Amino acid sequence: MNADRMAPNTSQRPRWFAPVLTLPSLVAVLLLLAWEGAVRYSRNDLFPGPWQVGLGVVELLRKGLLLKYTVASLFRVTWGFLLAVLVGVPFGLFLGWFRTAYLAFNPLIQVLRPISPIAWIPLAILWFGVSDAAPVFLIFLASVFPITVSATAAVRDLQPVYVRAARNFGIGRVQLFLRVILPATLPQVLTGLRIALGVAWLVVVAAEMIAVNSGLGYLIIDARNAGKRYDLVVAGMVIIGLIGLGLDLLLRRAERLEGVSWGYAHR
Amino acid sequence: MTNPPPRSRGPDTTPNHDCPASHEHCGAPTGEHPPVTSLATVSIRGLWLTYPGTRWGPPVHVLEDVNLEVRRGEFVCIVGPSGCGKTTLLNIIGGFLTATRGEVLVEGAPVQGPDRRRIFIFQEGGVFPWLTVRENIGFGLDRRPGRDTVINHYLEMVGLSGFERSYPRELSGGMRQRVEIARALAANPEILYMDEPFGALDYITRFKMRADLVRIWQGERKTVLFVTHDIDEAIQLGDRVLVMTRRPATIREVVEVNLRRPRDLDSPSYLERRDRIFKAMGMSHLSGGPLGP
Repeated sequence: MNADRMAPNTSQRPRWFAPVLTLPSLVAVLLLLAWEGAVRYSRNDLFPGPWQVGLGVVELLRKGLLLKYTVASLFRVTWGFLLAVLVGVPFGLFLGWFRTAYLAFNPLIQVLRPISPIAWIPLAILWFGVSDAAPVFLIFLASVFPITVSATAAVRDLQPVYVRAARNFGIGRVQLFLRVILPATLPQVLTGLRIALGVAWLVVVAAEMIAVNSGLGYLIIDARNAGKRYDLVVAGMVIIGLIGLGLDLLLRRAERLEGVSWGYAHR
Repeated sequence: MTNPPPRSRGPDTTPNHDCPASHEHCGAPTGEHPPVTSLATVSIRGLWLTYPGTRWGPPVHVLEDVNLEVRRGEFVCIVGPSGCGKTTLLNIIGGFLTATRGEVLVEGAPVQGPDRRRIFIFQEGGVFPWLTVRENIGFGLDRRPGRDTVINHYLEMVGLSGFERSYPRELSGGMRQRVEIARALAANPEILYMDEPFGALDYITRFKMRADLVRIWQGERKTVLFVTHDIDEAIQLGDRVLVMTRRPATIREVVEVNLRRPRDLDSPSYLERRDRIFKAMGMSHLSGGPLGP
């Protein structure tokens, strides 16, 4: 029998026809049409239509603000998030491994965790002034808890059989950490990073509305304050959404890497 | 790495010779391989394990005065009803648990903890899912020259050549257990502790794995302590079968198997041994239930 004929017929179609891409695109087009139609039909000026928003994006591009503000926001997210990873992952793994440390620190974490990072804004401004440090600090606060908690849970969920098997081969503590605990917990830690990055992106917008005068959050608040330019407000929102999607896709990609993909159910 | 040469099997070396029961009385050699030395390699004396009582319950005696000796190169099976404490016993011998009372000596020295000269093989999930088959097998080996040769040797021995780059999730349950066995053997241990290693496998795979284990063991001549709840498995594999009772568990009977391998599961001598184990466990193989009222 010809092996090619056994292959699923989807491979015959061109790549762009993949349902993962076509279906959401279809929904987007329909929604844009409905949006434009509704705005024109109602003739209100409370909500700009997609055409106006598109023009707004073009205007921002021309002025160079889009690139500048996106870079500014991504810069703050990068630093805040990296700091949170550098602190949260080791601290979380530490808490997961040592029961005493877990008992000592977990209640504190559980009290700090539900406080919205937005609530820290007044203190952040007091401590850091109107500078990049304030939003970086807020992003750090927002992402360090999900990262720590997921790393702790990853170690506590670790199958004891891995540790036993490894110890049986007489490996030392450092080797046990590097060759067993780290790779075994990596998939769950990575999921924590994904959640944390989502939160970080939410927080940078809020922080920039108050604590600085650049970035996508500032763009939104400035467009409203400076000239009631609601087309630019919605343009900013759309861009924030698209970048957020891009960040998530980036970490989803990472979940397919060889060293961690074993840890996820295969979809 | 080379395998030790097969040991002399006495004058009668006819392969596949199922020694009938009557043979045992006419003086013909029935033991497949006499022990090289009488020195016990594992020796347990007066072993107790008791979990302390809580506010809600009295102390639980899991193991009560367990005594056993395993000779070097011997394949010993421990059978008993599920939950009787045989896995607990193996965990103590392996150094993962500490007994309440009694002595566990391996090569004359008390067990202090897990040791790379005695490798434990788990029922399920002991292979590392983040490593390939090759990396798993090489886990216990130092990065020295000859490492690849050793890995290849054991890959081939367990029949996984061609799968060295696969990850455990891409393999069947039986293949994963083969990886674990190869990983253990590659570390060149003196003793293997096997805790129901085929317990999670299907019936057919289990048969195949037993036959392969016998073949591998005949080549490697490691001392093996093998825990199972499967009586047939125990008689098919072991030189001796230690029968454990329900909790608090102790070793009630030692059945010398003394049959040539590979073993015929229908021979009268095989059935006779099986019945002895059933009886020792207080069961009848006909009804499956306990003997008497």
